[in-house]
Amino acid sequence: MNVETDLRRPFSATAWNRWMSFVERNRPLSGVGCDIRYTQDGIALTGHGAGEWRHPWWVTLRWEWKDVPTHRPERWMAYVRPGFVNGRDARILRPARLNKPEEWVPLTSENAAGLWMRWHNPLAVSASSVTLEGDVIEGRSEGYPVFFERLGVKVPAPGEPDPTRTREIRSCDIFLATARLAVAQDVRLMEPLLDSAVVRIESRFVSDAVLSMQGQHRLFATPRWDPPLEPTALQRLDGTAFEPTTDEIKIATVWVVSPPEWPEDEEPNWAWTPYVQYSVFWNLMHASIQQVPGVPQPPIELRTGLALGIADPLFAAMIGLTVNDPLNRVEAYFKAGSYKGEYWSV
Amino acid sequence: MSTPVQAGEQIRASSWNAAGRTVRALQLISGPGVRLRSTPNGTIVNFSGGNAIFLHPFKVTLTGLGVRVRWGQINGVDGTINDKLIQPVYEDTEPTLTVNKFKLDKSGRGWVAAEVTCSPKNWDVESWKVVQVADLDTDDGATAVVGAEASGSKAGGVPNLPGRRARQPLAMLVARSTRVVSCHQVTYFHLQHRVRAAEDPKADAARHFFFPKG
Repeated sequence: MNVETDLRRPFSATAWNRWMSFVERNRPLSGVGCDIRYTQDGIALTGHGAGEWRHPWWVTLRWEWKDVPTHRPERWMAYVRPGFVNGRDARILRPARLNKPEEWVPLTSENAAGLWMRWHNPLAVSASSVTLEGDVIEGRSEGYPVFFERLGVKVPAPGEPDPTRTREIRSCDIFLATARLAVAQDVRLMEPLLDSAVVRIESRFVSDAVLSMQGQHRLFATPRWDPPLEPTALQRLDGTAFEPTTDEIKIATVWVVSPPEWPEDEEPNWAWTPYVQYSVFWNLMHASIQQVPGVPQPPIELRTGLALGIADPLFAAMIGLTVNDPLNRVEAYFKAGSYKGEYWSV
Repeated sequence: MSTPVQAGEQIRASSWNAAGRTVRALQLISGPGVRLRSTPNGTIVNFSGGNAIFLHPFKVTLTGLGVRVRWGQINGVDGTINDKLIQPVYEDTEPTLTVNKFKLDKSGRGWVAAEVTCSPKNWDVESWKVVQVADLDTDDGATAVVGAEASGSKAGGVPNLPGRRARQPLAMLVARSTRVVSCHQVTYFHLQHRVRAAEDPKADAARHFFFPKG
């Protein structure tokens, strides 16, 4: 292609478009056995023969350009190397396409899908607050690993801005979820208005996730992952406990870093450089701590010492007074009825 | 590196031509082991070459219709393939599990597994052998229901099989549309084994747990 011109002729639109087309055609894209990293100083190409062993759950980031025929927008996608839980491959959601509905497909599938990256901004500043004494606590940014300081990422608040550090950073978490049996308690006062009252605590299974996920282990991407919260003993005791119906573990955090002086409000695009921070490197096993029975535990009944008092002795014991027999029974009951699972590598 | 232009500044022909030469120099050209495919949105770069090899315990290798497993131990016990001991080093041929046809479930998946047999007295690992099965959790290794996908333990861990046996997956086999069976490693470390027995000590029902030897 001839790109030479001279001062006597105007530069035509045709020539410009030809030039741009040439540039676009020569933009390298990752193919078989090839990794591509876009940096501000050039494009680094690496062949798999270069000697890197890829462990289970290895994440490959790819920028996908807009696809006009299918109206698919341009975006960052993460492709995960097969990982296994209890010897079964984890699954990933393949979006609906043509006449096929969306479907959870195994990672070992020939046409396994990728995870659409949606970004969290760790540089965003939380709102300032004021103490009762009138001291102002400045808003803070969540921050990022020390590794990115050397790349020139902006200083997180409330640090002093550094004119040599102008790059933006975003993150996205990839996590694995496994359905588990959850237990909810019904707490009833059986005999009010007597010298003593009987409290009946009954458990029932909540198996929605077990039924919907059908024993599958599923991968998700979320801007920011937080581990599921277990209910407190007091929440269980007053019947307001909501047990999580999945066990979850974070597989990796994907970070992307912008070129220098990138606008704050623009979404990451192909010019950003991705980095993956792994939390899991090996295949996993998962099991619930307790053996799952066929039916929920039989209910327990407790006789309290106060008229109209539902469980005052129990609450008193829980906030630090003497431990008594009803409290022990209740704690043992809750502990035996929890089917929270644990992951370990294998 | 060229100097950035400012707003309103004239772009001279010499600068423009220099930029054009730079762009031309960025054209991708294939070298040995590299294949290029040009598209309007970019050029796809394909490398030919193998990944690095990682030798680890229980590494499963397929040799046609044969399965080989690298030396690994469960509770310090060596396993067998076809009654031949799996060892770190062999003086003669390495033992191979030969199958007429890989046992796969409806979804085209099967496993190479370590089938452990525990002592009737105290659940210690007495022996283990390499098997190839379509379902890890059924007695004969076939799928529980004809045409179904392999089951999985709802409580997690590894369920007990009759005769105080349990199967820990070493690798998953996946049949491709090209009729090639690919092998995906599951276990990478020497293992320890523990059992959670049933409440009744005479009952066999239990869960087995396998975890890496520290």
